[in-house]
Amino acid sequence: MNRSQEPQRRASEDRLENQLDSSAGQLPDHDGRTPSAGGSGTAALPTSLGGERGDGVTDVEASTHPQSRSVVVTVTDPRGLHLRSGRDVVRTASRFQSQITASNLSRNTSAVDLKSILQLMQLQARQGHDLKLAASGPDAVAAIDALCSLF
Amino acid sequence: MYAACWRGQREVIGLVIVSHSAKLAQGVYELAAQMAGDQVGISLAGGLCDDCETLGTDAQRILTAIEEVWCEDGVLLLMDVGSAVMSAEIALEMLPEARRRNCLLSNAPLVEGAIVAALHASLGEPLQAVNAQAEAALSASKLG
Repeated sequence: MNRSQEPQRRASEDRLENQLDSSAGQLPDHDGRTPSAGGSGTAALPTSLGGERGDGVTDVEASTHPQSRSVVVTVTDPRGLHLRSGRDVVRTASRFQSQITASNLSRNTSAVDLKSILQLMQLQARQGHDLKLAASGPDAVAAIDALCSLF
Repeated sequence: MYAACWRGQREVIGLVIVSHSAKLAQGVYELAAQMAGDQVGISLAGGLCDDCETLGTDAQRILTAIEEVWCEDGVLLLMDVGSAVMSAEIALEMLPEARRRNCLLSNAPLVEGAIVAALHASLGEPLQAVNAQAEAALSASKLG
């Protein structure tokens, strides 16, 4: 997949950014989900580019420019990322122009297209798994913000 | 006679689920409907009659199912195995040429294909794109 190479390129660009994303605190709440769910699972991640936001979501490439953004989310649903929740993720992702990918860090999967339910199911995401969501495009920040609340 | 394919703010294709078993068709329909919500017209052609348990496929029932959801944007037919495909082909031959052109037999596996097609159809994707998503299930590993 061509787009899988893009986050790497952007990551090096983002290292030039010294400021953390000031909009992180404006993300939607997690509807009563346990904020500490992602605590231990995200500890080993490269948080130097972002920060723990206290809601189970860790910014990896917090960037002030809207062309790219990626975060790590932890699956909180006891049934994992199942068919219905996957449907809602694909529906939400499809509202945005940006290319949006996800990889399951806990299973070391490659990045898949988040606008495809078939590819999403291949993440085999269970409760506690860490997923890296990456968006690239004109509405990347809004896309990631909208998707974060679904995990 | 024909269901409108204009649902909400965009046009979507119709889906037909063809199975030897009416119960299997109904179950696949329930899965697909949950993915599509009320955005997609989905019709069934399962078994040889509505209230009997005789297994089999019937071209006339498939034709009726196509007509229930037919629209200009197209109709995708998803079949289980064997003669379901042949019955679907016969049903297409029974359609007027102008309508047949907008119908497509999918090579996708029935369950995965219906789930994937229902969701992507509900997103307003065109017939060929929806079928491509559904047929990708042929090469997608279920076990990761």
